Amino acid sequence: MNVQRLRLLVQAISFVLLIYGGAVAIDFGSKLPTFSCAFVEDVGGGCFLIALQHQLARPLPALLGTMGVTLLVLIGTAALLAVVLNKAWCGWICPVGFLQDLITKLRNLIGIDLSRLPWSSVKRYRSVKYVLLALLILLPLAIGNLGLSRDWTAPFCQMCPARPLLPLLKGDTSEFHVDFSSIPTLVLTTLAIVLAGLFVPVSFVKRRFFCSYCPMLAFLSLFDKVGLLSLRKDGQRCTRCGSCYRACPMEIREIEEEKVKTNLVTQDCILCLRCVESCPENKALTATFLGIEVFRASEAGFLERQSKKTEQ
Amino acid sequence: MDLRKMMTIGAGRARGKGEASAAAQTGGGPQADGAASPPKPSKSERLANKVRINLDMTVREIFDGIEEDRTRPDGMAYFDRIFKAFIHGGKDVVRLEAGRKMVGTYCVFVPEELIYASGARPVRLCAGSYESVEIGEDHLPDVACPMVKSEMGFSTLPILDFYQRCDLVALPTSCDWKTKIGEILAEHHDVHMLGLPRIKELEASRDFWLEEVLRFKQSLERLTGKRIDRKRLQDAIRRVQRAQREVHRFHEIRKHTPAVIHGRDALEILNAYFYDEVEPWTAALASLNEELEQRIANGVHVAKPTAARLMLTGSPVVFPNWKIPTILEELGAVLVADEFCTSGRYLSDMVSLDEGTLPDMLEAIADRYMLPCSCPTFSNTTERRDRVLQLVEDYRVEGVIYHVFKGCHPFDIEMKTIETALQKKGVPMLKVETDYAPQDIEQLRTRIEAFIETLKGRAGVSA
Amino acid sequence: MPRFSSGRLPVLGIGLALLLQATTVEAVAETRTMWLGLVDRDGQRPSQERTAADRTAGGGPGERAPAGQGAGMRMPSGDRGADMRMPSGDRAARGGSGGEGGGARSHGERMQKALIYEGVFPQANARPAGAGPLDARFWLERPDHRLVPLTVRQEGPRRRVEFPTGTGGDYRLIGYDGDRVAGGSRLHLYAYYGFMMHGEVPGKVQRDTAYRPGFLGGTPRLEIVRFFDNDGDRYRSRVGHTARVQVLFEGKPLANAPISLTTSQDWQRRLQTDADGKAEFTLIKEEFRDGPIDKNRTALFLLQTEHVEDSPGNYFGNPYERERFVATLAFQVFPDSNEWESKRVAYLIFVFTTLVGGAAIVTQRLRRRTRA
Repeated sequence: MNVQRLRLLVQAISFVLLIYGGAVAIDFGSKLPTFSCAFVEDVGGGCFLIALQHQLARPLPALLGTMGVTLLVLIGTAALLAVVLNKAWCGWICPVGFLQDLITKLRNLIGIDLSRLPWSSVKRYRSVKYVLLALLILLPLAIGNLGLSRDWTAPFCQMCPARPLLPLLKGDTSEFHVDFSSIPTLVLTTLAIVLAGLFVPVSFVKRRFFCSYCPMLAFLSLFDKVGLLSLRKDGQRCTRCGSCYRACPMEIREIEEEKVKTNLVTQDCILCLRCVESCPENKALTATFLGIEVFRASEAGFLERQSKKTEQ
Repeated sequence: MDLRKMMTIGAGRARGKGEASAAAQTGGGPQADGAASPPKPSKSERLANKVRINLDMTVREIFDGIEEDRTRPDGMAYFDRIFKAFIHGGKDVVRLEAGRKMVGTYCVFVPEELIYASGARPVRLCAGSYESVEIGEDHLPDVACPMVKSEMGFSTLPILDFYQRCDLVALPTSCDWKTKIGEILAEHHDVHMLGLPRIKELEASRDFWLEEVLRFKQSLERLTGKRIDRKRLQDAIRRVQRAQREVHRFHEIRKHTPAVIHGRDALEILNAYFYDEVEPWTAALASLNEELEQRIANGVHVAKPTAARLMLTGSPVVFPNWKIPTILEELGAVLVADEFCTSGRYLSDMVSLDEGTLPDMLEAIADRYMLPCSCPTFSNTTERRDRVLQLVEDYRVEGVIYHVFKGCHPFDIEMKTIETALQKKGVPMLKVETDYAPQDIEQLRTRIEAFIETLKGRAGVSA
Repeated sequence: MPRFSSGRLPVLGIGLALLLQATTVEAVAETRTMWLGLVDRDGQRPSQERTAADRTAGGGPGERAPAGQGAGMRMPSGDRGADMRMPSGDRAARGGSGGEGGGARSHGERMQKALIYEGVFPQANARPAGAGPLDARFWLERPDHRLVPLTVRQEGPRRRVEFPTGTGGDYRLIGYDGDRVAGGSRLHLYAYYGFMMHGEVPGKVQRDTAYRPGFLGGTPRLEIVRFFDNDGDRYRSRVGHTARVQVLFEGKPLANAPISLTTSQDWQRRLQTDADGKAEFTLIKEEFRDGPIDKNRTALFLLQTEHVEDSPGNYFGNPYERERFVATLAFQVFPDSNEWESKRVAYLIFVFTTLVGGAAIVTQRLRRRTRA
């Protein structure tokens, strides 16, 4: 079984279902922990962050009352989904992730080399996603309680490049705008367009460039140690050959360096399982679901995949 | 009879390469005065002759012993041929098309794929001959390890043909000895030094090593005049990977109990990779693998099921230094695995292509040669420790023999760490410190025998 | 902006414009009207400050505060987190109003309230209907086509109706008054106000507001139905859009019916329906002409049609010669997004960053190549 091909297929199906599925009455609700932008018309299932940001924009008494239940259900549903599939939401389902992977595929077809960030930069910018997650929680709370301008409504959605980009896939350019009605909206929507502008060239050379800063990844990473789907490592079997690191689109060095810990779903991991595929050591890396092995690194598999790469 | 002839060849080659004159200019070269009058053997030529004769005897002795072994697979013939060719100056050890460049390599760190991609032929020069140690001692301090001394002997005097024929010698700065012999070798060869970082966990080390690999690539391109492009490199990677595929298959076979091949033969097989083109070697190993798999199916073994399963680690054992493996297997134990950079793990770690672009290939090559390498020259022992433990597990090893050359400090220093790790696993370890000299064989035999006895005792206790 | 939303009535959200009594169609401008304006749960009329929405636990369109509110975010059609959408194009459902309805949807029904206003449209927007006779009855037509009768309650000087919304989908507030007989005519007044709730729609997505039988045990005899070219327009009518409507009488298209569009500025355009009962109005800009553009400021436009049938009858002892049907459809109109959004600037920035990003990458690559 070629896991990457399977992943691409799953991604493509998820993409079609999520982006175009609404047209045939497919509806996975609006609490998905994945960047299936709700601004896409008839989205087949929406990103829960927009609802989260809206629901948090309430006065505290309301949040502690019935609204709190609503909010808990929203967060709880997203958390439950996060626990079940873990980061596979990013690696296997997310439409924005899929687009980036497609761009990477295109680059591979042309035969252009990738770029990586220096290790220090990867480490330094890791916290950006948590900052964004914190802001998208705190700013709405400030709207509801501290009188912050409503122009900050759904602050992350306003600056999210998926909002202008994903509706384009349905020919909808209505979100592709800069909003001049106030300074915050001007700043945030401009940021969205700038990020969208960088999206294509940067993700062309840097794999999954956006994901490293995605607050959804930050949210999902809160559950990565309890996720039913998991990535395990047997440190003794690892030779630290670095194959997994080079395969990793998120440039996670722990996957190669870690010798002691067994759970390797690190904060940036998107469970694409490319590391498992690229690992030449039997059982050094395994993907498990509920502790049951679903895919494992093997010498034979490695050799087979390598021969495909060298025979082409 | 043919001594004179060989002498001429050797001297002629040396002169032909302009090294003799270079040596003459410096005034310190051992063959400086030999170059002037070919018919009359100089002191260094006489020395070379002597060494060659001794080497011939050693090789013959080895094969006399081996040929008595009726359990050997037929597939060994190919590998035997290569080593038998060490007799008479090793003309046939490396068979090379006319005009093809030959790149001599030291250590496991020299990227062979690049050499193949450039159209040249890699030949690994790591030597195990006691006979040439003597010459090396002229150049190096007494405490230097026998392997470096032996290599120096072959490289500086025309004993083995292929050492003289190298168009380029690639020398990584793996240990102190290797770092320093470059200057001495430069008097005889074009030497390309490859800077090897010692702390491989650092990003800077990786960048540096990649740069070094790129520099080596340029050096090869200058040598052969061929550009190493994606296609050529991919081709080279495929060729080496195919060999590695057979190696992995061979390793699987070695895991079988009872053993179907002697450890000494396994060492020979992998050691032979030094000298031949990758394809014939791969084909030979493939047919041998088939034979061995047939053996497993037919229940043909070379050792008793109760034979102690031993593993070697430490300083590498290279032909014709078959001291330790011979003793082991004469004592009825079976050598099932080794962790030597010249055999057990020589072809284990593979180039792992990701996207398959040229930079990706170069990066994959750089990574393959440095990152998984468990050479003790690196600051970190973790990889080696884990590799040893994993081998113990995979090959169901009952005892480990830790082989250290006198003067091989990196392996010596790591010994404690490995011993502790093995102790934790309850696997006994015997440290053997020796060199290429045959004098200590009996003493070693006694120690190893005692070690094997304790293993049996343990087996008895646990049974 | 004058009368309509100058602060006296910031809660412009959902209003049911019920034409109470008309003189004749010829005098539409004199028409007395009645309104329903949604309010928060406490029955408080939200203040004109933006915090109105914040106090609004019941949320809904009431959250749509005036100036400065809203971040220019359209509530996406697929967003189940927001609440009300009006088929007539509700900019309100964007931004600030989000989330609430989603919660309401998943946790049983949430009561929404609407105040009833009356007066001459558009002049009587200012205050809710107080004392005086009110014979109209109100229903809420739910997405599953279930009709929920609504009770009119007196609340101080105001009247209101309460109605629950639970699931997402198309809702329609319907008012009907058929009790008056005057000058030999019996008057049937129909008033419609449709809106959409965000959220999961039970069963098949119901997006069709076309004529549906089963109303009031029979049919709403005169109906104005609005059509939409795309879903986005359903909750966000903008200046410049074309409102396409169809007039149905007893379920069938009514040709040559007079139909008028009245804006909150009293501007009026009158047309006749075509053979298929259809008419088209371009939504004009006049409400937004002065001052800086507030993208959240809306105006209520009212469509009105009428039809006369010569069918003599007797209504509780009041004989009549004709039956006169009047129907209204009210909807909110938002400023054109071009007033505060710029696609052109967005494209410029996009192309610029793409080029700069691309150039930076190429430069860095070239530098690396020369080094290697």
